[in-house]
Amino acid sequence: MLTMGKDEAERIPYFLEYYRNLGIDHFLFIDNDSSKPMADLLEGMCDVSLWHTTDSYAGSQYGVDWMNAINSKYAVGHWTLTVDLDEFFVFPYIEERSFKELCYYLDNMEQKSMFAPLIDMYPNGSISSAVVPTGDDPLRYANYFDIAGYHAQHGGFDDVWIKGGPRCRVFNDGDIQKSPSLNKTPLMKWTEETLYILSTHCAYPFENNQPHPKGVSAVTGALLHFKFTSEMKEKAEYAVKHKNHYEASKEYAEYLKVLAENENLSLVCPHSAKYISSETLIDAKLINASFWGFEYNS
Amino acid sequence: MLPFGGLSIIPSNIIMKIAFVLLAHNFPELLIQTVRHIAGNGHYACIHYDLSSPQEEINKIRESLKEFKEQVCIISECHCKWGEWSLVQAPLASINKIREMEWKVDYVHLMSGVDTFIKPFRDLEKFLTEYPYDFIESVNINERQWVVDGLEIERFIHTYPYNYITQRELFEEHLNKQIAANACIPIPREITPHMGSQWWTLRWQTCMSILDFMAANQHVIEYFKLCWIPDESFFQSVIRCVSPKNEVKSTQLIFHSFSQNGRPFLFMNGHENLIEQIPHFLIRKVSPESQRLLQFINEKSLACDQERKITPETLISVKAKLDYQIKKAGDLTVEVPWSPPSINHGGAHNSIVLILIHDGHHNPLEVASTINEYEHVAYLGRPFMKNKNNSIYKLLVDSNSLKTNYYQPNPLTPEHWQAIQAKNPQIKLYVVSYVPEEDWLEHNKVLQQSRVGFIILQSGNPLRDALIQNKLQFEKVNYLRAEGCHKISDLAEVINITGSI
Repeated sequence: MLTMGKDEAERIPYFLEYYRNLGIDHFLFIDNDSSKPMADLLEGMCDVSLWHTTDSYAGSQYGVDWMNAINSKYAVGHWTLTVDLDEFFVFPYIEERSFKELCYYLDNMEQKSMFAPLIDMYPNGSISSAVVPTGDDPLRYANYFDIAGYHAQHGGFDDVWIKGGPRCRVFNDGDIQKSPSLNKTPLMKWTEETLYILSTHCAYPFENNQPHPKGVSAVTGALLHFKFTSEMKEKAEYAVKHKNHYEASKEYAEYLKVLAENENLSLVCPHSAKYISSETLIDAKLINASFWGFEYNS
Repeated sequence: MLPFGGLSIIPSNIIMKIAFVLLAHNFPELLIQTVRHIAGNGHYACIHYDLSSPQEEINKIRESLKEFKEQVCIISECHCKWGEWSLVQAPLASINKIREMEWKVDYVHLMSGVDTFIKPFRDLEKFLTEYPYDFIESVNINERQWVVDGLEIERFIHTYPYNYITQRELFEEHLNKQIAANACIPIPREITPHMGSQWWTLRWQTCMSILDFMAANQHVIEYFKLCWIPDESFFQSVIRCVSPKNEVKSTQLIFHSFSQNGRPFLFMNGHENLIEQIPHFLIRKVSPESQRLLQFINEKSLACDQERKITPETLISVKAKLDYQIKKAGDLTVEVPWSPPSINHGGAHNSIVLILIHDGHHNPLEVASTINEYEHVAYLGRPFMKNKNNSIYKLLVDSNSLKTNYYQPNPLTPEHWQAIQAKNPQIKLYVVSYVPEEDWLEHNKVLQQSRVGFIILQSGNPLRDALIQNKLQFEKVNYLRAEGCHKISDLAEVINITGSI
């Protein structure tokens, strides 16, 4: 599994705990010159490989070049999960079934990738109230999400662009076109020709982007995305200052603007729901169990 | 943890002896476990390990099983290639080997090295004693289609010198040439083409009869070597020449199933209840990563204390039921996330259906021309109209003045609605005409299942009131009451409102 980060040390302990429990064999970290080096934290862990770069995140297609270079050198022939430090991969029945079962299943189905869009999580109260202590599970503090309000549109590369959720509702005036994309294909069986093109939103070969390859209902997952916690303001200020995100961190400037208007902003709305288990997402039809869920003991 | 970890003591009261023929080419550890389980229960195992597999693996298997050398043998006759005669040759070689070893067996069971036992041997012995037949799927393709999608009779009448997997282009070119030239090979007169799964359980006497039949009909062997996937047709056809019809049960003792796109069904954690429902003696395939399930099989399924009533009929009926359900689980016509039909706008419905009660207040042509001014509106006419050929609406649908021509005679289904919505994402409002005498109740149900919103027009019409008051039908569906809409201009107003939703 590959991840990268800059000055996000407080997220790493739980990140490792979560994914180790899931059954990840090896972690590939890219430290984009954090002021407090990741090496301090990761040293001595035999399941972690660490790269360090002082290059610009924006200048490397927002890390895409780094991810491709490392995965292509070390991950060919393996299932690779490429996520950010605030993204937590879930799939149907994750409570009972392991990540290795999932990979074996995907191999059995001759599937090369798995679709898993971002689901923005937020607290049942003001964003600032969700203070996540280092090493703790953010889901305990931000366990609400939008059960509806997503928009899907077919793109030119066999991909489906998903937009919507709280970032569309609250920070983009409900404008679907303006709001950030949620579709991702974080899990891929890496081959010599595999590449990410646009973050993990779009991959090559393009058929890897299809949620349901060859028109047959496939298992899909989600990335629980913990952006909306008490750290949000600080992170957004950092991003705006360094202009290191997409379109000079425009999205983050918008966050600051909305937060400035209402310090106790809450994202809860009439179609907010509490995440209880992967079955919450199955019921909301945000993830799909398909054949993987056939006759699953309920 | 793998199943069959511990050896059981060979019971002294075995009522019948079975020789298991195992075809394998990898996973030697799993194979060893399975064979120890077989031999530990007093039965025989003849392993055909693929000629192309590493010799070290064969040595390892032989070494691990040496304590059972009276009951276990291992051969490597050929390299088994999918679609080719080698997959018939391997079990035939195994039968010959069993004869040569002079094992006294009642049955031969052909299986793959990755199959998993889910019933105790005592149940299997009891079953075969009670039903002393040949168990082999054998379908006469003149009577019933067996192949779901692909070549069937073509497998019997053309030749296949190229391998489908490794030489696909040559394979197809050669086949197409034969079809174009109508070049066929004759089916031997002894044979009626039958097909079925390659895995079977045959009486020892039947196996001997097959060898005798082959010795007497060498040309039949030569013929099947030319056919495609003969492991699904050779034994299945020859069995009809050597066993009486009433002694052949066209089913299998193993449960295996395939997804809609032809991938094998995988048993995983969480399938404990499913396994309890399956009357078959073995299953395929079990994920080696699903340790809890393997433990369950080892501890519960293989326990001898359960009373089960298994008959050839239960094997057939449960298999048919599960096959159907498994195919359906991979069907994309069910609602799946992120596919266009399930686009969800903020908890509202994908699109809205405006039900226009046909009470003489409006002229369909006028409605159509009003609707035509709006990009986001389409007119679908009368879904329950019985005689569309004589109707004005047929003309409406065919004319260029309408933006959609998804006219469907009754009944429209939820799938129709989803397809219509998917193909016309720009359409936010569909206008449907209802005539009171038509079967509107059925259509209500369809609309409800389609997750579309409703607007019902023409207040004062008894049908409209009946629709609204029908609480049972509308319990879960949002609908808007468009009070007082009588005229076409009212329709325009409603369209304007829906345009902003």
